[in-house]
Amino acid sequence: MALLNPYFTSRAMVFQRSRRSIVLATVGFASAGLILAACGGSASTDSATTGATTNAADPVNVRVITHDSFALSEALVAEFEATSNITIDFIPAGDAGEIVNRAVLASGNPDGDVLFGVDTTLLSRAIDAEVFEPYVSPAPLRPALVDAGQGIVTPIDDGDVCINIDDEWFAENDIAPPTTLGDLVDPQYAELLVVQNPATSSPGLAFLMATVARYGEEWPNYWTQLRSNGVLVVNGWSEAYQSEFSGGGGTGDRPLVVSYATSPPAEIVYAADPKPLAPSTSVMLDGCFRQIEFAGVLRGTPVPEAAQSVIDWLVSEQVQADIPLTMFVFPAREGVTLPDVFVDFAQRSPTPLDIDPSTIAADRDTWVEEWTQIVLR
Amino acid sequence: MRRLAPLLLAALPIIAVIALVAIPLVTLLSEGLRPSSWQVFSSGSTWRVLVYTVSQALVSTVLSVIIALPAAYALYRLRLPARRILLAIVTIPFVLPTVVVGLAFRELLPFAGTTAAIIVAHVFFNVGLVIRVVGSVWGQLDTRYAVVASCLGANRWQAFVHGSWPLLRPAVTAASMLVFLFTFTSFGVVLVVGDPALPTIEVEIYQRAVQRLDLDGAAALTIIQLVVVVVALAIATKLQQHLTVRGIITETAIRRGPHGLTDYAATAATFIVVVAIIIPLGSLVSASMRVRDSWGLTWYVEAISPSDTSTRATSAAEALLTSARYAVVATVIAVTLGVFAAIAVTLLRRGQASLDTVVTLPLGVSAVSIGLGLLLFSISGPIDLRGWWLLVPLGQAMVAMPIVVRIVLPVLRSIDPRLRDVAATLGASPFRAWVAVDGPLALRATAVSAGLACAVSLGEFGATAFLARADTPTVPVQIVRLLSRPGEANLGQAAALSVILIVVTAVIIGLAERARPRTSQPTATGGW
Amino acid sequence: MTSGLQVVNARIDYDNVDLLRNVDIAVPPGRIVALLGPSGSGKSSLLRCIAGVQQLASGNIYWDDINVTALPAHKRRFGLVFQDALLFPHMNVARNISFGLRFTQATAAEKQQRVNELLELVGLQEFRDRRPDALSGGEAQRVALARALAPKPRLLCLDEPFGALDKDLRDRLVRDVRELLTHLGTPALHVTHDPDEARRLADDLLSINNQQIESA
Repeated sequence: MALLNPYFTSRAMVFQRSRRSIVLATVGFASAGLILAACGGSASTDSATTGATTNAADPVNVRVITHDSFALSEALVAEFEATSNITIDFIPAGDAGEIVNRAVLASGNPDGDVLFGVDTTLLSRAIDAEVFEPYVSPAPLRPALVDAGQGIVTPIDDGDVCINIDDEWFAENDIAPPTTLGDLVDPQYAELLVVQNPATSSPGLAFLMATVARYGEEWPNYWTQLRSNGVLVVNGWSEAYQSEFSGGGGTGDRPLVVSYATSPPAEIVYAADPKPLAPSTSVMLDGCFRQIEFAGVLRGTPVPEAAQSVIDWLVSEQVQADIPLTMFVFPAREGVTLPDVFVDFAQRSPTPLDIDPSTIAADRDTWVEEWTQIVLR
Repeated sequence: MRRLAPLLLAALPIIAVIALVAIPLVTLLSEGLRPSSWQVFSSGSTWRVLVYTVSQALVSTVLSVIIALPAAYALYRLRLPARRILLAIVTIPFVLPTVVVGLAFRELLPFAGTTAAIIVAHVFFNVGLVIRVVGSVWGQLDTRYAVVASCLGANRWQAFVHGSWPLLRPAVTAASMLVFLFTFTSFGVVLVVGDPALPTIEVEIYQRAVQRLDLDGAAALTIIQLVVVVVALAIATKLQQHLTVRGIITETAIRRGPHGLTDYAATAATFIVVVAIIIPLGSLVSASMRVRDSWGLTWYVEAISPSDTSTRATSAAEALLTSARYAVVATVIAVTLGVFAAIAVTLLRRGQASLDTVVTLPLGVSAVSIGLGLLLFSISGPIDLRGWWLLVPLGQAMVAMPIVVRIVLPVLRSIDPRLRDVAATLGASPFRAWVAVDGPLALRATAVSAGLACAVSLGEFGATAFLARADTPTVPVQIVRLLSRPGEANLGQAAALSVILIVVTAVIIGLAERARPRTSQPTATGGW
Repeated sequence: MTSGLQVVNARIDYDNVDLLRNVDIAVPPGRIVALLGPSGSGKSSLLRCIAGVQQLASGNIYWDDINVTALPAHKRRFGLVFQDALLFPHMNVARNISFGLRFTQATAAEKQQRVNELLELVGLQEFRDRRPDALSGGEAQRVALARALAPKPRLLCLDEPFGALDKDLRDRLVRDVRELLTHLGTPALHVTHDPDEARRLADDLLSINNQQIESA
């Protein structure tokens, strides 16, 4: 009856074999997965980890995090890379406020080596969060600007943040353009102004500071009035100037925008031939806020020396001479010849508004929060 | 060994959830419950934001359900031409990246930038989900209940309301709850096409953290969001228990041709829905090909190999590569953890529901919260995870894992355990019995869930926005970055990237769906 | 002389409620024993315990005087056929039948031959490549039988295998199964609620009365 069935003699061995193969397969898959994971990881951190340790023949890669408005002549970059042993990756990562915030969130473990675009209004936030490794370039820079860097960052350029006016629009509509900050809340200028969100944009923040400096405790009132006067808020300078502003080659329909006292020359530079003799935009010199832009070495970078070299290069004569026509601000270096169009049409406010850096440090966040509640909610 | 197996399998997913979701969540809670957050809790604007978020979610949910029901009926009970194609089109929006959908509607709607635009986009997203969940139950519904009602004197409408509707309610409730959760925590859509003056909680959390660097305030808002989600889940679970009726599923789905006005109306509604889904996709394609005043593929070329290399900004090709790499890793992780968890749930004798809840937890915690939590944990905690390349895929995997579980678990549960008994009596050890009986079905369900997990990872934005590094953006992050810069070139490239992402997603889902077993049985609450 | 199956003083329970007590059953070699009882009386549970997929509350099971109570199902070599055939849905008829042969050392050719043998035995030679969902109830049941018999089990447990079939088919199948089992010499324990069926299939009859087993 229960004859020993030949089919069942070596069942045990069969099981062992199959179990073994399963174990082998799993181990193989797991190790393949680990290898894949390791390779995938190293690819993106190659530059960071090998930068400082390989021999001098391999170029060092420096990542410069910038705001979206950053621009430099390609030729200058190529020349620098050819003569030094450094390759530069520019990483535009949003507006000045955004990139500083991200640097703060990444403090100590940065995703770049140099940060370009932190300005006087945002500097204290970055310094408090220990975002930078102190480095000031030894190049001959204007002393007042260097002092503003508090020995931690190097000034690259400066300019005044002012309201820009589309003169053509005002002429066509037969209205006299505003001349003071107070004018902006006048009903005759309703729905004509576009500003940037101070949480994300450094000119936006500078303009907010200007109103704080001008009106003191009453600044929330001013903004409530601006809001009911139809002010438009966008996130970034480019959007404001290029898409919402009606002048300066912009495609928008608002003739008043927060920009720089050095913006009018841009219209001439970018115009098609024959170039106009004078810009169609002008600057409201009341209510300007002086803004200095810095570059710093990010704490935790694997290539600090190369980062310093890049900053030195940013304040070199060639780059500083290039800046007016690519970024439309004044160079920080002393003795740089300005292009004619700049000399003729770029302006500096005689009485720019200013706030003490320690006050900025203490109150900026409260101001931005309150501004958000008043204007955006 | 038998008892150990489920515990061993469950260990990995549990550890992952604890490490990647629970601990960061606890960090969020502790940061968010500081005395300074009282200001956030008591501020009127916080409650306004909350009310706004809940209302838009409710409206989106109700509209999605109302629009989906006729289409569910038509697609699952009537014999329609090209039914499978229609069903596929209807499902596509759900797997699209939120940012892409936002962009499509921003281009299409004249009223973009308002609450109405958000709601339209939400309905677009979720109508397919409701159709599938409710439809798959409706299609298998035992029609004899309605017949009985008719014989007892009910007219057609009454037969539906009293005969069929009570049996559909659990599925509708389940679908509604999912839609509410998704729209309540909606991020990408609101960011791109919403009213900047009216953020939802998720957007507010993100902006507070990243724009105003108010991490504590953001954490406090996360707590509020979590409370609402928990309350909503509790209400929905209660409703479902109360409403669930058993014994209603028949084996075969009998579809009959459209007869009568109601059927034709439902069919018409379905076609309208399908067309309404194709239009935004079309507008996206056209935006990607509009070059100055004519048409062309410039933006695609530009996106892949940019001509202006002066600033060496990340090209779209790099973003695509980054997204692809992250997606592969995230899918492997999500599928492994999810399948382990699903198997463990079916093998456990006790604690099945608890394990199920634990691995579904990330679904209730929004993607932004997961990202913010991991970020906070890195900043204030003992281990600094920032810059670890695996962080982004892990965050994405956490978002995708619950979906894997929800797909694989019902399939495993639907297997008659007596089949394993038969295999045992035929000589198969417990392990080999499992492999032989559950294996093939499990494999197919895994393939389907892998496709979905991959699509989720490719389009993931909420967690990735926090965790991605500046020099390695994913495609959704890059799209939003391009959108924040003015100019036709940036818009065109963003649209081109979006179209590429849609095509890749569609291909992956299409491949995965082929693995779906022919006779997949729905559960009483509607399978996926 | 081998002694076949012996169940000694077994107790079957379900959810801590006793279904059967003091169960003593013997299935001698070559005999077919039927166990009669109403639904819910625990006879299916008893069968499952004997097959090894469920545990006895107490008591022992012997095969040829060796205690197999603790032996797991896949080592017991007792076949099991359910009322619904429970064919593996993703395998065709031939692969269903050859499933149990996977765990043996048979070569592919030997397995083929065995499958053919069984198909012939149950009269389904043309059904090799059919899928389970393309079979009628009677055909599926015959495949299930063939599958259970393929690895030459020492004992066949039949759990109301004809319950889902109509009368004519049932009669025919009962006759065929009895013939088959007698021809193969495989002892069987057949559990059913139909006394007619029991009498026609089995050599010996037992019935469940008041939670105990007694000869009918």
